[in-house]
Amino acid sequence: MVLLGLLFVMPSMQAIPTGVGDDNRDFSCGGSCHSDPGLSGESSAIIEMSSDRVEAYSSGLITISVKVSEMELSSKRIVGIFLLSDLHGVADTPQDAGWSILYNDNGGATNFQETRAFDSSEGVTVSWMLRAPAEQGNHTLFAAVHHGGGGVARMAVDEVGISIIVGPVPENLPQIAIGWEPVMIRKIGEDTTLILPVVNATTVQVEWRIGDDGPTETIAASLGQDGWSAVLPMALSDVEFQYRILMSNDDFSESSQWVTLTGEQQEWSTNVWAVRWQMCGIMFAVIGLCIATQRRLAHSLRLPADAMASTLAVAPHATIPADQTDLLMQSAPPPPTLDEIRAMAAANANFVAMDYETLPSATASSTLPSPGSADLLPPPGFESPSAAAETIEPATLALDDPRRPANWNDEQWLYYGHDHINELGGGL
Amino acid sequence: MVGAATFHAVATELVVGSLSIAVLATILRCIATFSNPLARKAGAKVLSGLDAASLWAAGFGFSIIPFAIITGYLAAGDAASNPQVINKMILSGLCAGLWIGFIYGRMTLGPGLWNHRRLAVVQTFIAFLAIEVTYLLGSIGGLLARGEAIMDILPFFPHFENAPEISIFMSVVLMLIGLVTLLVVIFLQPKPQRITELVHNDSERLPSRLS
Repeated sequence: MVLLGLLFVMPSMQAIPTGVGDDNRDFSCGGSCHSDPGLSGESSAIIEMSSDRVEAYSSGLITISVKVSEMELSSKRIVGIFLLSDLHGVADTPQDAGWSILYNDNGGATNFQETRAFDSSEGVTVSWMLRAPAEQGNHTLFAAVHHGGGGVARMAVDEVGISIIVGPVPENLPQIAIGWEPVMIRKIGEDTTLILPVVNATTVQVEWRIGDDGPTETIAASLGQDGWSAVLPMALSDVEFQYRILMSNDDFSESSQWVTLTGEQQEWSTNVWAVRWQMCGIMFAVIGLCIATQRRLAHSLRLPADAMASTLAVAPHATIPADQTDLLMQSAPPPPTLDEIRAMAAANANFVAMDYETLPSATASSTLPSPGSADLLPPPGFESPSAAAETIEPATLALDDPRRPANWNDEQWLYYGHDHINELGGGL
Repeated sequence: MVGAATFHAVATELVVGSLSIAVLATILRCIATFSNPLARKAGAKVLSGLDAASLWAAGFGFSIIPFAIITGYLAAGDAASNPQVINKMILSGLCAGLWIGFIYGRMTLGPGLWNHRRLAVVQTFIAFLAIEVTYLLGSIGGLLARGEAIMDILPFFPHFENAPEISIFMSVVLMLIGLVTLLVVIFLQPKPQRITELVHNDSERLPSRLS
């Protein structure tokens, strides 16, 4: 049922709700999800195109604005708007028809730009500043919009478009030289000097404002050796500073589109090796924390000594350690010298001398003779291992005791191990 | 040629998938610890299987984590200038540490840890934290690759646009503190012995002397 539900949900999760980003895109490359009838829905968007002039001059500037309203909106409220030279779906960007995009509202030079719409009835308006093609004649530009809403992708197209008549350039038309790139980024707290390659102008001014609706101020540009120049006031924070260029002579008065000037984002960077050390430090600390917690809790549960007692109805002798080397060394007196052993052997014919000095301490418990054997008598003051064991606190059998039969599991060894060791004649 | 991003996607899917199975098995085994009827109904084989599944799936997923870290670093490009990648690297250390703690605890304490409720809760809590960090890492990767992640729908999903800036000297000090902490725990804290899988006070189920 869950899988079936997911299959039904899948179609509504098509397209890319977060947008694909600004780029130069043919209409068909904007995403087939918006045009596929099986995946998309109807759009109620209304598209209105406008320009700052009806006629443009060959290679002259013109601003095209597109307003989209009444559209459905997805939760991300993203709207992607195309400016197109035709609707064929292939090679249909304005650049393909000879137009040049100087910049758009997002600061790029792409025919597709994305923006967010907060109120569908109010809509969104985006604009492009273009340089008209050199070829004179009647040119048409179209607009299309991709958006979402109701869980499906949607698309609307303005198939009428807007006609622009491109005519010859008057000899004395004031205009910005081809190749000029507007300043769009600057450092905060510093004045910005604009160098404006304006030709055929007797007066050049720079108009600026804060935000789209702020009051405008005008700065007169001065003509120098490098051309016209004007100084924009500094910004003390990253505000939306906009400016445009006003050019005029006795016959014409021209203006550019508003250009948004943003504060330079300080490049953030860090030392990757420092991050690697931090990563290792955090990893070590977390491992230590986990292990410490587990060990502390295990001990608070009286593990491991009481683990068997709490989990098995085991005999008390099952908690006596098999390896008593340490206990033996603690409780036993120093081993006698060879002379002492010989003296004792002479006094008691039944005593079989042992070379205690050659006894390896690590294997003392396994190599010592059986404490109950009548054949051996300990030296004076020597306490048998079993006696020593009885004086200490019980512990557990070692699971890796070499005397453990190979076919016994842990449970069998813990329960019957003591008897088995006794039967072997070995001491615990 | 297949890029590092593709290998990173494969590694990430392996890690998230296997570790999810590990946590699911851990949670079910923990529930059985608290529910005797459920444990009896499941039977010893199922309980042992859940324990083994949690351990082996965690081990497999953990073995892939280094591969995921390396391919992710290679796919990220200029990691030093991306706070999200930096945060991802730091969280990778946290993720690896939690999973090592989980696996180490299970291997040292043995399957008998599930017979003790508090130990079982701690083990499950570690696994839960570890998988949360794992999912968080995957979400950051989704933000980097697609601009969105499924955890965006959570109201408390943290933001990673900013990363801590610590000097390399302090970073080395931090690493040494962590290393010393780990060594102290490993070598100075008393070691518990492995808990065998035994039945609680059930003398009737004691084994026969010879198997």
